[in-house]
Amino acid sequence: MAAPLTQADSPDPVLSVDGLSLTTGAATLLNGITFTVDRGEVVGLVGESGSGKTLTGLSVLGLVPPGARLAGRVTVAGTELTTAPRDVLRATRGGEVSMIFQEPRSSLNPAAPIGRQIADVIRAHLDTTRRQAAAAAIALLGQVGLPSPRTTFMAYPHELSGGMCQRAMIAMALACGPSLLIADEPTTALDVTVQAQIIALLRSIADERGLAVLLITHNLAVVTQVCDRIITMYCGQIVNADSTRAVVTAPSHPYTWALLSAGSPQLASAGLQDTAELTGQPASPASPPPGCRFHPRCPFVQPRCADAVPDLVAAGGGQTRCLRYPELVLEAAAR
Amino acid sequence: MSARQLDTATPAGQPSAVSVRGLTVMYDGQRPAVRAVDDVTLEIAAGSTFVVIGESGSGKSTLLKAIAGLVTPAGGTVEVYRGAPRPTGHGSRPGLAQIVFQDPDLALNPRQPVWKSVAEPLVPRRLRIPAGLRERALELLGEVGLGAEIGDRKPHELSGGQRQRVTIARAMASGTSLVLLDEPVSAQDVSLQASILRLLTTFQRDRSLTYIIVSHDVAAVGRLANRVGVMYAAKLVEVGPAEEILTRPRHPYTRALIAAVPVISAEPGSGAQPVIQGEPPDLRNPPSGCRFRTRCIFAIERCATEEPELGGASLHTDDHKVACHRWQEIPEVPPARPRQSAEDHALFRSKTGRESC
Repeated sequence: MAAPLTQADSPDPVLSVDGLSLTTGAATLLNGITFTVDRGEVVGLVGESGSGKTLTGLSVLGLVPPGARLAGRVTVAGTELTTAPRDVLRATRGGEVSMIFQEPRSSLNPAAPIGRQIADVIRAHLDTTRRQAAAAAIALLGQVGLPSPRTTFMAYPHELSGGMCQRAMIAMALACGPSLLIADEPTTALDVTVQAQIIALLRSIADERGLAVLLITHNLAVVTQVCDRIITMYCGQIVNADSTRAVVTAPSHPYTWALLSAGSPQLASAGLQDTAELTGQPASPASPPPGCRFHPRCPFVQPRCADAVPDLVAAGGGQTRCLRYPELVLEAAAR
Repeated sequence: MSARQLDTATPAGQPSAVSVRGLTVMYDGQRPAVRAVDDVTLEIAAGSTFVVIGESGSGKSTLLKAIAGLVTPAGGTVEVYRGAPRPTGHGSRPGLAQIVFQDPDLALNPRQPVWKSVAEPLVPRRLRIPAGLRERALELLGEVGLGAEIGDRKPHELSGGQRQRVTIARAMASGTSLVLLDEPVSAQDVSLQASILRLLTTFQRDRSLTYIIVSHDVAAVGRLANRVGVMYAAKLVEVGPAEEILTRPRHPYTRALIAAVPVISAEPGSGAQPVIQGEPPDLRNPPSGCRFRTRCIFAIERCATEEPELGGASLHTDDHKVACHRWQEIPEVPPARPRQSAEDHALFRSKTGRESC
């Protein structure tokens, strides 16, 4: 049952992850992760802390913890990365694939001007002169919506706000014309007003440049606003993958359902009693529960859920890993 | 200038827990000095939850610190009452107000078992025997849902959610009636947010606590609020009952802030329109007149010359106040708020296949 799980619709995805597993010692932190991201597509990877979503993003670039073993295949624009030699990986990181992180200020060098840091990336990957790289960096700073690119070029990270730093990070990520951008919680540390600006920027970059974006976040609302497809991870496994519309209107996995319900902001002071529960702690991939890994927290659990490990099976247009999928009709955002 | 706009909104008969009058806090390490909180006046009823929202740098955390007595105001007064009204003047004595800081990783001593951190507020209250301290600390940890074995662990051995619970246990330790929370849930998973908020609700009910919660994310804490204050560039720009502010915001900034909260949407890209452009102003050199005018789509000349004062804002209730020259001219429904979420929810409910087994 393992072969037909790839999303076969697109002949030539930018990112193709096939059966990716990551083990450290006895713990399997990622278990058979398989998905694709197409050109111009924004795919959301969601789940709670510890579900393996960040690790998946890092594994794509081969950035795994020391001593960890990576199995499976990761292909970016035709290049297989898991077996690639060091220099190919090095050229890929920041070249074909860029990554931005949660806290932009800690990703930037505090002792160097923003512009120089961007120009350095360009010079490391492309054969350009210092002058050309600087001109390209200024152009990029303008493209990501920074008001005065020339001033920002000379500015140090501490002179910019968090939102401006994240824009600068995005400029740096775009510097070498990547085909894939991995954004790991890019807006979590930002104000909601700036968050809206940054997610709009990411969406427009995907649309205008045909960039494939893998957006990793715990914020379901952000994901539903920008992503074409949503992949839900739980305890090192993909448990659900589907188009945003399908996920929001009729989630096919109880965990996605629970995340959606908990993530629906109720602005009015409605009290807490009407919030759907997602009780208990997330399961640890180091010692996963038997059977379905979500069953100890699942409101729809049945005895058989503890016995058999469900496969990731086709469900509507997507996939789900739930034994009860055919019989469950989930009511999203329960009140 | 003594005619300050008093937010005397505490309904009659309900005692105040905190009175803030004309509070101004200056940070003068920089030249020119920064007014981080500028002439803020608030009245917070005992047993209620007051939520302050605003962007980074709006002065909301500084306001919290001033109420806790951690920074000295340059002007104005903060009075904290306990039980029967008892003014304390500037600052506050230990135990009157407890603060739960934003980042639980930084708020706990990394080299101490967490029970010691929880016991710390007990020490100046002259609880005699150290053994008693430990027991009391473990009891408090139990109340926030952490087992006794957690007490002997160091902060790095706990998850983020557990650390947050430890900081809440510590705030409760001194038996205070006023708890100040700085971004209590902003960086956490939604499942964790719900459990922390539930814990806070339980404590409030059982101990009749007053909460002042500061957050940039109104979605996370809005449902706890009785009243909401909105800060922009060191000023209080709107204040009123939570229901009013969250459903009928009148200040253009409040509208933008609430409209920026992402909602679950079935149309990718639908809600991804930024509703407010640019960055908050530099407080070393704030704009003349209304401070929001540089980003406000409704700004007119008057906004640049005359500073708006907090005034009555609602036909529904007279304790909703807004500092905007044009609030009466602006249509009541916020223009940019994606409204489809309510319909989506109706959709979910109508196709419900209830668990019937």
